[in-house]
Amino acid sequence: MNANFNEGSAIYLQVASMLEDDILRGVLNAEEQAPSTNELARAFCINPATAAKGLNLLVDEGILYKKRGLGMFVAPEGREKVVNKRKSAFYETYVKSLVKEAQALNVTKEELAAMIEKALAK
Amino acid sequence: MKQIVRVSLPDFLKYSAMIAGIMLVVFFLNSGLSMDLPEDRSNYLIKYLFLGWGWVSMIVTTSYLPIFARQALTMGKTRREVLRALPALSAIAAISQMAACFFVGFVMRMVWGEQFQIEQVLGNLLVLFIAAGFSFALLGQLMGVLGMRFGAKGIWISMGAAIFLFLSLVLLFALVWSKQLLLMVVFFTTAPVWQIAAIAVGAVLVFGALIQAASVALLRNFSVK
Amino acid sequence: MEKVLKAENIVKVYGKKEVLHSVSLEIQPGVIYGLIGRNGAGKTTLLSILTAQNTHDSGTVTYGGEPVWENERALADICFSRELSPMLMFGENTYKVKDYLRAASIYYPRWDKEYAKRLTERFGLDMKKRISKLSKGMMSMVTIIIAMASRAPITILDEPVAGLDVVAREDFYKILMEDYTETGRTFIISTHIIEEAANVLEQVILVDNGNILEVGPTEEFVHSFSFVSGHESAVDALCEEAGASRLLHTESFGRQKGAALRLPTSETKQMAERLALDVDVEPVSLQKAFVYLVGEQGGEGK
Repeated sequence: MNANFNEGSAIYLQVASMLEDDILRGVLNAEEQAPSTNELARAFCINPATAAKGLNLLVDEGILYKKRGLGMFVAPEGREKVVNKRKSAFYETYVKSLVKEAQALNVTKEELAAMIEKALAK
Repeated sequence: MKQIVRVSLPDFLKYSAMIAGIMLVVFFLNSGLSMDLPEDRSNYLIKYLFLGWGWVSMIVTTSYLPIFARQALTMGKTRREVLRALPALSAIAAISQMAACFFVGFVMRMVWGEQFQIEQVLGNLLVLFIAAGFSFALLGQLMGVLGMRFGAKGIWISMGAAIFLFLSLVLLFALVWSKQLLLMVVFFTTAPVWQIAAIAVGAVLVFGALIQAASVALLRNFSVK
Repeated sequence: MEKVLKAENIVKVYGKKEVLHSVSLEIQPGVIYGLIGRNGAGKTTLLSILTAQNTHDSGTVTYGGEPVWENERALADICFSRELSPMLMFGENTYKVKDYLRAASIYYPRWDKEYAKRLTERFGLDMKKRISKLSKGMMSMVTIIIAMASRAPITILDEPVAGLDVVAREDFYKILMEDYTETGRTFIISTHIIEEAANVLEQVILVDNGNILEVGPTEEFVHSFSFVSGHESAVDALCEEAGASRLLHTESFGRQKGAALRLPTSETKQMAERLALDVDVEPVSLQKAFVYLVGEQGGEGK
């Protein structure tokens, strides 16, 4: 995790995405305990309510799950869910804007495909 | 009230010790450390002792009370509590100041022995001096409260008030008694000490009550700046 | 610990000038509030009225249902750590740091001496230094130490980071979070260094010209704004669709135009897509949101 928040999106979303990064990179593995609200608040100097919102988002998405009285843990299928989530986010944020930019530049479908092929080959 | 006294006590004691030290240094320099004290010197020193006694406690209460009051108000004390503490603080200022002067007198007596005729101020005069010491401290309280209420303007108002009070007292005395009689009453009265003491205590209490009433009126709706 | 500090219809007049116009506010327990406003907006006045240090001309302030004015029990739960002054009525403030801390230790019933000592060491503050010899930043440190070590259920800091350098400011927010995650007490922090504080504030109270403009969760507040930029015609079309009441600010740069809208980014984006407008929609920071909201109205000089 790193603590450089940017203005771009809500802090709780950034908290959630930092935790997702950790899960993707194996910093947090399945069935391991995620940092608590207070730990996150202290570590990143953010309000615990914000941290809780980020954690709850991941719970709602089934990436984390609550163990009563113990805290939040990474779901067994957590990593897979993060990957799927990121894939759809990839389409929404990168692919769509890629296509939008290409259209603005009058790049044809074939040209675009060729460019992607070229980038993939590298 | 107890808390406010606890906070302020060390300052009063520090101040008294400092004044006592200064007085001793000045007196000894003044007498050239000679073991013989000229007779007129004795009177002079007593005058200065009285100055330290009265005026200093006035200055101390004028300048310190607003600080203590403000601090207490910003740290969660009510105006009621602060007002209750004010006369106690004035009394402490007067007592600590008098104690310092007693100490100075005691030291000078040790050095100069019989030559330092402190006996001049025993009896009735001492009673009046003590009453004056408390009155000056109370006057300082009023000036401090005025300063607190009206800021820098308050200092002028309080100076005016002090002069006014002084003049009206003089006028009162002049009206009630002839000048000779006044002097008689103060210095040559043959009344027993307990009578003078009773009058003095009564006068200080009445004066104190007036000052306290004025302080309450001024600070009841005080806003911390 | 679960008492609400409540101000209702507070009016404050200084001389002929009304500085607070019927202000109402509820401070819920266990929340960190940020009181944000320009200089002269009435922040300190409001805080001193909430804590019964100042009088007001009408309205009521209650804590757990009881009036705060002259109420020892209520005041014992509140710490409003005011700015220190290098000058007192009769000259320089010759008090030492340790004198202030001693007074605080006597006055605040929950004073934590150990904590005060730890913080003094953490800031590297010289206890023997006179207040008049302290820099602005060091004075802020003293007020922070008093506020934190008071352990008051409601702790109020007025411009706590004024004069502090970047490192000390970050340290303050860290201290605040460490304490808050432990005690969960209520904090009200007035500041005009907004951006750094944004992440620690759960709720913001926006004050301008003696009025409370808004009170609400910081994040919700920030995300109710968006900034649109693009070709003038496209931006204008979007602004028109959004409505004049949502348009807070515009800036032009040749044919390029930018506009701040009181509309969440997602909604602004949807709107742009629906109208097929080629514009960039960006979120706005707390500071920017504040400036858009109050900047156009003139503030202090008004």
